Amino acid sequence: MSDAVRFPLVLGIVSVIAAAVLAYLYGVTKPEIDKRQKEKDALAEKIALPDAVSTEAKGAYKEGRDAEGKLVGYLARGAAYGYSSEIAVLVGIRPDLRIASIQVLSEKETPGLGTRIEEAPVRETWTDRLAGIFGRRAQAAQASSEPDRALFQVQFDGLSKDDLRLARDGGKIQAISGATITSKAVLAAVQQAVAAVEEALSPRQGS
Amino acid sequence: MRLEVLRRTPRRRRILAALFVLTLIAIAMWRRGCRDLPRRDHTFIAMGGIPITVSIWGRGEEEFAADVAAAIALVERLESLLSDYRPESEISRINRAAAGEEIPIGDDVTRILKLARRIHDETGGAFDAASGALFRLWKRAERVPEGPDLARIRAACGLTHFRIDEDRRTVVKDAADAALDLGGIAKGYMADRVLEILRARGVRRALVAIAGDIAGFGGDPPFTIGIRDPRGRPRDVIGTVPLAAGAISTSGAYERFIEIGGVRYGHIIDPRSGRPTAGPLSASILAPEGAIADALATAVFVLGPDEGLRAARAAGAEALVIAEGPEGGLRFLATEGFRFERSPGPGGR
Repeated sequence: MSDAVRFPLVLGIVSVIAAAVLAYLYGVTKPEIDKRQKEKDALAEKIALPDAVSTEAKGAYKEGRDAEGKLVGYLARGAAYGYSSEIAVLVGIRPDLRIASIQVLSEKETPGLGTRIEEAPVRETWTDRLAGIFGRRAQAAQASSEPDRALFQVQFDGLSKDDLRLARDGGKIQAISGATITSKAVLAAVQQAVAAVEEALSPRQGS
Repeated sequence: MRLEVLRRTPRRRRILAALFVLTLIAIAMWRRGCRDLPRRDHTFIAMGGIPITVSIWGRGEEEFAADVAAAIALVERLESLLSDYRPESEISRINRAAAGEEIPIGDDVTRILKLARRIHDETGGAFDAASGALFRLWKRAERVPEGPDLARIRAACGLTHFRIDEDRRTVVKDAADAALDLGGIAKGYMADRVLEILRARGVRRALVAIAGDIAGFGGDPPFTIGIRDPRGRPRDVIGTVPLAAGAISTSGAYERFIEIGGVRYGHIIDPRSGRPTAGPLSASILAPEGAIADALATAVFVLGPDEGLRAARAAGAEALVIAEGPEGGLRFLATEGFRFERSPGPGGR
């Protein structure tokens, strides 16, 4: 085999392995990420329509009812693209279709607004799982007085933020001073959400 | 070169080592966030499109939901008092009132007007919460405002037209068309008030960001706040500053100009002259209170680096001014206590 064939071949094999590892890691972290997002969304719904004791999905939106079953409002989602990000909102809408509140579900590329630097300890992370695969979880838990911690984290505890910095956003920035998301994007997202409820309700109101 | 050789070459080992280190760094970043108290955050929209993010550490889900609900209720109440879009707000009532009429005001408007007046006086009028008409005049003008037009508007502007009577809890103005516009102080004030109620509810560590006006308490370890790159996109950060307590606000041009007939006349109106001024690229203020940081950021932006830094120091605040430097570069001017740290990468030119 000539070098011209050999090098691309080696590179190709390495790429395939890397892709497989990434796909696997995505697979094991995805359920955790989804679970967190669900919890966050449930919280946003509770805040968007505080009077609602129960909600019922009605296609594009949800109906919220109080303990007596009286309609207290609607919940609808909307999304729009801003200057460099996508914003997703949850709008609480009163029965008379006035807006009760606007909660932001997510905004991409935005350290600060809607950033998920979740600092709650997670029972099982993919590092734990990896450790488990290598049969070292029990050992790791014994070795550390804090069983929530992953295997490698302890080694990095002593480093300052400067040692581990993302080039663009400074690693662990908690908010940005001077930044604003475009209110146009917010408005578009909210209009979309309200329109979804209006459209769904209009035939019933007309009859 | 044969494959066997490739396998043994030190370069391959170096690459492997580099990959290993990169993996470790990735894992460390993944887990880094778990060192502090558990944090929860929630963003909602108020005031017709302004995002408010409340971050609270060390609260359970139920407590957090109640904290956020209290914050939303407070912001709604403050908006109903302070917004000049709401006809029944205290601010709208003041703006509609005749000269000499006594208008009753509550605690919040009293506090905010006192703070506004303090920053107005400390900055020689570079911050003026009663100069909205000047801004609108220039913003809407089809030709450059001059002579009587400008003079008439200028005469109605100025916080000095308002007199607060704290005992009677009233405000009186001496010109009917004098009007308040709290855009340069209300967001910072709201952040202060949200923190107040969170503290009263037993929260030990919290950060509130109302658009780019940020305030926090329980900053041990300090919060890391990014400063927006004044020439970048909204989320580009040019550097960071630690915030242990108090507030930070940034006022910037962000490519906005007052433009009349295709000619650019600067970024911001100087309330002292009634005319647009170029200003630096941005001004950031660290202050004990959000309202002060918010108002001072506007003032320092109007004043520019030299006068601005002096004014900030005199007001007991720390400031960072980012201005255009030679050859398209940037100049960073800061007071001693502003521990700005430049980010590497494209944002940190």
